[in-house]
Amino acid sequence: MKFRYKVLIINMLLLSAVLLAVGYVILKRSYELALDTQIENAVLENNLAEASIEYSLLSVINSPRYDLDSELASISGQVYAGMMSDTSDLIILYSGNQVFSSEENIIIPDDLILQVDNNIKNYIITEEDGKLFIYIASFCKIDKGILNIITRRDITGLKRFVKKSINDYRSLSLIILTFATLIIYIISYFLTRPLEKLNKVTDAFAKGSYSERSDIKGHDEVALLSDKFNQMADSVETHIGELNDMIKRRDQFVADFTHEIKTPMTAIIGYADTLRSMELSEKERLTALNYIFSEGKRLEDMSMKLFDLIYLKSNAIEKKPIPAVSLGNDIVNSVKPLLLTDGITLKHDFEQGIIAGDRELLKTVFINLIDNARKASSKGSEVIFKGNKKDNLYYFTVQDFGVGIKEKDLNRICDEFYMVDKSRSRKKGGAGLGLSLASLILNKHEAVMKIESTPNVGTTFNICFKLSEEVNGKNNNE
Amino acid sequence: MLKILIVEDEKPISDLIVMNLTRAGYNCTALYDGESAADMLETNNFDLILLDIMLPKINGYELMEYIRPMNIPVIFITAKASLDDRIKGLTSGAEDYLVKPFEIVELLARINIVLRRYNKTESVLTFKDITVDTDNHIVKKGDTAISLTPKEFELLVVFIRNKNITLFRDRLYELVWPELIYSDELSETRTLDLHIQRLRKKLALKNDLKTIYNAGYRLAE
Repeated sequence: MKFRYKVLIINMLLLSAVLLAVGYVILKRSYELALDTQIENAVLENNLAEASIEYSLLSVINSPRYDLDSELASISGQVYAGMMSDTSDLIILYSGNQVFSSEENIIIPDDLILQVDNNIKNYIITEEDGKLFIYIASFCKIDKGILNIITRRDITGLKRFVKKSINDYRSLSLIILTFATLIIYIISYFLTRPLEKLNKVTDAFAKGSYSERSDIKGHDEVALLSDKFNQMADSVETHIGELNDMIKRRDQFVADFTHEIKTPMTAIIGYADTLRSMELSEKERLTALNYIFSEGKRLEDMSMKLFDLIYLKSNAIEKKPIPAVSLGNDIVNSVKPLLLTDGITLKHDFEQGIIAGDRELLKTVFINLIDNARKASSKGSEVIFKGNKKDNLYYFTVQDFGVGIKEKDLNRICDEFYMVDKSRSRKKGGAGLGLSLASLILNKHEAVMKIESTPNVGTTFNICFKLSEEVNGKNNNE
Repeated sequence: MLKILIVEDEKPISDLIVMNLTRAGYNCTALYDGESAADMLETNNFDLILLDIMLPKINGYELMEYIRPMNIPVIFITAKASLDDRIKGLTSGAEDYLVKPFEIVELLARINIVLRRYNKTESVLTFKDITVDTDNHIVKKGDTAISLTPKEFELLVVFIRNKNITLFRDRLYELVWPELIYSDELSETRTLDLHIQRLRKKLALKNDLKTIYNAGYRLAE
C-alpha cells in the first residue's frame, strides 16, 4: 500500500475517534443541560400550582363549612386552566384519593415517592408510549389530610432535541471528515511526492542508467536521502566507469598482444616453411635464418617484459637502500657498448645520494629509457644521463636530442604496445612494452616521471625519487 | 609476368612474401606505407595488390578507397582477425581477407583464385612438353591427349603451379584431398603415393616428380 494511503487511513481513523469522543461528550453535556432546564421548569410549574392551590384553599378553610374534596377539584380546575401550559397535566391527591386530574387515564408511576418532607419536591422521569414525561410531586398536610399536588410535564421535545443534535453532529462530522480526507490526501501527496520521484530515479538507476540523479531540494529527511542517494550514485558511477575502463584497457591489451605476437609468428613460420620447401640461394637462406632469429628474439623479449609486467602488477617490490652513484655507473656500463655501436655518445654524471628501491628493476627502467633515447637518436648524437640531489629529492634525468615525441602521443607512450613510430621502433627491435614496464616499476617505487619533448629537438625524461636518508633521518629524530 | 604490389610495413613479412612470390613467378614491388603506395599506383599498373590494414600515414582502408575505381583486385593481409574487421575489409571492396599468421601456400592459393576470377591467369599451364588446359580439363603430352581422373588432374595442376617447391604430404592432402584431413586414416593412407605413381607413369615424369625423403614431393624443372 502506498505511503500516502497509510497516512490518510491512519489520520482518518484518528480523526473519526476524536470526533466520536468529542461528539459524545458535547451531546451528553447538552442533553444534561436541557434536562436540568426542563426539570427546573417543571419544578417551577409545580411550585406555582402548589402556591395557587394553597392560597385558594386558605380562604376555603376559613369559611365555616366546606367540602374539601369538591373545593379542591374546582380550585385545581381553575389553577390548571389558568396557569398551566398545554403540555402539562395536574393531578391532585388528597389523603391518597385522586380528587382532580386534568386528563383521564393518568396512572401515577409507582416509584414516584409521595411522602417526603415539607418543601422538598420529588421527581421522576418516565417514558410512556414513546413519550417522555416528568412527574413532580409536592406534599403538605391540610386539615388532617395529606395533600399531594402532582404535575406531569411532557418533555418529549427533549428527546427530539437530542435526536436532532445527534443528526446535526453526524452531518457535521461527515463534512469535516470529507474535507479532512481531501486535505490530508493532498498534503500527504505533496509530502510523499519527493519519495516517489526518488523511487523512480532509483528504479532507473537499478536498471543501468547510472547517470540518473535525483533533483529533490530542501532540508528534510527526503532531501537528505536524495543527497545521499546522489552521493552513492556518484561513487557507483565512478566505480562502474573505472571497471569499464579497466575492461576496455584489458581488451585493448589482449587485442594489442595478439596483434603484436602475430607478426613475428607469421615471419618465423613463413621463413621456416620457405626454408624447408624451397631451394634457396645462400643469401636468401641467410636472410630467412636472420629473420627467424631476430623475430624469435623479439618474441622472447616481449614475453620477458610481459612476464615482468604481470608479475609486478600483482606483487610488491622489496626496497633496499641503493647509492645513486653506484646504480648510475652500473647502468652506464650496461648500455655503453650498445650506444657505441650506434655511434652515440653517453654523457653521465651523478651526485651522491641514497634512494630506496629494487636495484635490478631500477636498472631495467633506466636501460629502457636510455635504449629509447638511442632509438630516437641518429648517429653522432649524444645522450645525457645524470643524477642530481635537491632538497629531499633525487632526480635522474635521461635526455636525448633525437626525433622527439608529438604532444598527442605523449599521453599514450606508457600504454602497453603503444609505439609512436611503429616501423622505426620495430626496425630497432622494440615491442612497445618498455615504457609501460618502466612506468609501472617507477609507480611501485612511488617515483614521479615527467616527460618533456619537442619534435625534432629531443626528449627529456625526469624521474624524481625521495631520498632514503631523509626517511632514515626522520626515524632517528623520533 | 603478372605484377603484384605488396604494401606491408613489417619488413620481415614483406620480405617473406616477396621471396616466395618471386619464386612463384610473379613480379613483385614492395612498399612500406600507404602514401608511397598511392604515389606508385598513380604511375604504374598492377595485376593484384596485397594490402596491410595498419599502415603508417595512410591506412589500408583509406588506400582501398583510392584503389577501388582502378579495378585492381586487392587482398587484405592483416593481424586484425575479428569478424567486424573481416566484414569491414570485405565490404570495402577487397577480393579476399587473409589473417596473420598465414602460411605461404595459402597466400599463393588465394592469389591464384583471385587472379583467375579476374581472368588474369593463363588457363593453359605448361611443363616441358606437357600442356594443361584448366578450363576444359584437357591434358596433353606433346600432341597426345592423356586421360586423368579428377584427383590426378588436380594434383598435377598443384605441382605445375608450385614448381620447384617441396610440397609436404600434409599440404598436398590439404590442397587435393581436403575431405581426408580430419579423418583418422590420413597417416596410413596410400592415396597420395598411388596418385603420384599414376601421374609419373601416365606423363613419364619419373625424373621430374621427385620424392623428398621424409617430406613429400617436388616437381623440379
